[in-house]
Amino acid sequence: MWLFNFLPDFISIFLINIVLIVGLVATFSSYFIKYIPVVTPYASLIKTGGIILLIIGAYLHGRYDNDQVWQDKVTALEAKVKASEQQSKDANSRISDLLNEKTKAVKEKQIVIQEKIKEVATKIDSECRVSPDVIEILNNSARKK
Amino acid sequence: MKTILISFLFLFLVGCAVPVQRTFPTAPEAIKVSCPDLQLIQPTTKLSEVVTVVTNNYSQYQECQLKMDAWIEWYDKQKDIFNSVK
Repeated sequence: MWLFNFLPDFISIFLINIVLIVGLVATFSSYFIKYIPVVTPYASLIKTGGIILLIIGAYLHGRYDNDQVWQDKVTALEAKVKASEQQSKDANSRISDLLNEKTKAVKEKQIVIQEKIKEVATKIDSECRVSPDVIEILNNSARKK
Repeated sequence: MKTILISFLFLFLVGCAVPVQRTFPTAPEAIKVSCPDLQLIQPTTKLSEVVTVVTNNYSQYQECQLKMDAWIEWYDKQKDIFNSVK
């Protein structure tokens, strides 16, 4: 990043354009300046200075335009990132809602099953007596270790 | 003249570039809850009490299954969203 980039855009482009215009004017005027006797001794100096300024101005202008292109790309990418963050939040919200809905259905089903067990508890308890071994086996399989 | 030259060169100094920042997406709080341990059966001879605990555990498993499915869906969606930004 150039230090030019820290200047406000209008100042940067103004300075660059000044350099470019001065370079252009000096370069072209150097061809006619020899006809003005007072400044004739400086003709070659003006020409050299003009060409240097023209090259620097053209380079800086190209650099500025290139920076603008990248700035535009960054701005576009930032907009995409912002949109994707919103999409991400929307997706999270949808997943949460769906999970809550499905969990609620599981809990409701469980309540119905518990009620059913209560209804038939007397009957199944009278028909079957559970051995302690069965409880041990079930508990062992439910434990992590 | 020296000052002007130094000032002009100063304009050509190179600084650092600022990249576009992307934050890691956060998962919904509901799916970040760990699944509880399975319930154990208290010593009893009643089948109804055993069945109650077993069905509770089934229910708990189903809730965990839903959370797992939600994680898979979250990952797939976030991956799609992440890949869509280029």
